[in-house]
Amino acid sequence: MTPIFEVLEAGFLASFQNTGRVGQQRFGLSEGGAMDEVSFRWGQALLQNSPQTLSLEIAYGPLRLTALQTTHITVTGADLHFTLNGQKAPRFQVLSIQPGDQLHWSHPVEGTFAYLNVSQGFHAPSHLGCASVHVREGWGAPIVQGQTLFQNAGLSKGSDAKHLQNKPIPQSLWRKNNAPLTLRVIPGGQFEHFSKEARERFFQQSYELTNDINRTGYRLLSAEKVPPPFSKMLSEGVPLGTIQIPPSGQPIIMMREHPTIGGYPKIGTVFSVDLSYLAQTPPHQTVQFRAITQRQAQRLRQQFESLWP
Amino acid sequence: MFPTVSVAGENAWMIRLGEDVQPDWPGRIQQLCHWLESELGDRLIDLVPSYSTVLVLIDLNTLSDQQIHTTLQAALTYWPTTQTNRNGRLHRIPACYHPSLAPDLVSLASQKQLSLEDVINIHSGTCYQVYAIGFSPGFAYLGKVPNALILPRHRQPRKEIPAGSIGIADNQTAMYPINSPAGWQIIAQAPGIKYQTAEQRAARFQVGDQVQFEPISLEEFHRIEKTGTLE
Repeated sequence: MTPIFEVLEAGFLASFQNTGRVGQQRFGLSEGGAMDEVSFRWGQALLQNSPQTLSLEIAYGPLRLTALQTTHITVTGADLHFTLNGQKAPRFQVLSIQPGDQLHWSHPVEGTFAYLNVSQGFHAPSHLGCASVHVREGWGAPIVQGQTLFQNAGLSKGSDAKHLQNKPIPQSLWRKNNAPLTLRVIPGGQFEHFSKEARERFFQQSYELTNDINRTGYRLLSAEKVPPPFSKMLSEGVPLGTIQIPPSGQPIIMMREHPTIGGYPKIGTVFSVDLSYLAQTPPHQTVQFRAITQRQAQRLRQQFESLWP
Repeated sequence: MFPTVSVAGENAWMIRLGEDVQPDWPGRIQQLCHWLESELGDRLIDLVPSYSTVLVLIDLNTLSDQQIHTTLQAALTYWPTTQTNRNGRLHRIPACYHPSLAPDLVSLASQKQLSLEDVINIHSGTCYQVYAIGFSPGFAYLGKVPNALILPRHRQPRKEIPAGSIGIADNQTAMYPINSPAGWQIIAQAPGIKYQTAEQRAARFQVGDQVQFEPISLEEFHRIEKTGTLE
C-alpha cells in the first residue's frame, strides 16, 4: 500500500465505505457501507474499480487533504463545494492528481454524502471480512486530522488515463438531491395487520424528513400519524430499508447501520436504489411513498445492476 | 395457519413459525437454519433467526423465482420434522456474582425476597437457550429466566456498563459483549471479555446454542481479568 493523502482537516464524519458487510446480520452486525450506493458505485466504475473497493464517504464536510502521489480520482455524490487547488472542480469525472494538490470539501451545497474514489481504492483494515467503517458499533473509525490515507498497491498509478472513460451518469439514475422525493415501497412485515385506513394514509400523505437522520435510520414526521396495529411484538429480523412504525405513528426508515432485529411493527421496505436518494435528501424536504411489488423491485434492481460496466 | 413464509423485501422472505416461541424451538430453529444453509449454499446472503421467525436473504442473481418458492415451501415442510435434540453448542461462561461488580444484585434479591445465594443458585442453575441475537453484535438474548428472578428493565438505562456485564430483563438474561448503555438489571460480571477481539465477541453465539453461567469467586474474577487466562 502507498500513502496517498494527508488529512489536514477532518470534518464531521468522513469514513471508508464500500458496498458493506455480507452475511453478518445473524451476529447482529448490519451491512453498513456507502449511504448513496448510486454515487459510490458510479465513482468507482469510472475508475474501473469493483464495488468492494473502498471509497472515502464525506458527510457534510469540511475536509481538507493534500495529495502525496500521482493518481486518478473521482468525486461523486453530494455537492460539498469540492475544490482542487482552490478551483471548483467537476464531480462525476476522472481527475488527475499530482503530489501537493490540495483537495477541499467545504460545506453542503446540495446533498449530504460526497465520495472520494481513488485508483485501486483506499486501503484500510478489515473486520469480519470488510473494511467499511460501522460508525455506531465502532468497527473502524472515522478519519482524523493528521492521519495518512493509504491506497492499495496496483499495477500502475496514473498512467492509464486513456482507458478511463468519462461516461456520464445515466439519466435514469440522476436525481436532484434537494427535491421532493417519492420512495418506492414493497409492502411487507406487518402490512396485513395495519388497518385499511392506516395503509391508505401511509401511501397518500406527505411526510417531512426530520433532523433526526443518521447512518442508522432516517425519521419522518407527518401531520397525521399512521396508527400501528400494536405497540410491540417479539423481535424479528429487520432488513435494510425497512419502514418501522413505532407507537408515535411516525415512520423510521432503516438505513445502512440498521439494528438487525426489532420489535416495532413494520409496514414495508424501501426499494434499495431509492435509499441512495433518501440518504442525500436534507431535513425538512418532502417525502412520499408509492407501493410496488417485490417482482417490480427485483426488475428495477436488475436494470440498475445492468448499468455497471 | 403457521408456519408461513411472506415477502419481507426485494430479496428477503420472512418465515414465521408461530405467534409465540416455545421452549423447544431455539434448537429446532438452529436445525432449520442449517438446512436452509445446506440447501441454498452460496445463494444465501444471510439468515436472521429471532424467537419464532427466520429472515432469509437470497442472492437473486443465482436462483429463479420458482426455485426460491420451492425451497422456502420445502423449509416449511421440513420444520415439523426438526427435533429438540440439543445439538447446539453449550457455552460455559464464568460469572462473578458480587455486589462490587453487579450493581443490581442486592436490590434484585431484595425485591424478589431471596437471599443472594438463592439468586446465584437459580440464575446459574438454569441452562439457557439463545433465542435471538441483536441490539449489538454478539448480544445474545437468553431464556427463559425462572419466575423467581423475573424483573423488568430499569426505567432509566445506565449510561455505560462494562463488557461482560450479565443482566436480567423480564424473562431474559444476557451478557453485554461491549461497554454500552444498559437498562437491564446487572447481577453478575464475566471476566476476561476485554481480551477477546471484536470479531470473537460478535461471532460467539448462534440462535439455538445453550448457555450456562458458572459462579466464580471475586478472587478468581480478578485473576482472570489480570491475566486473561481461564485456567
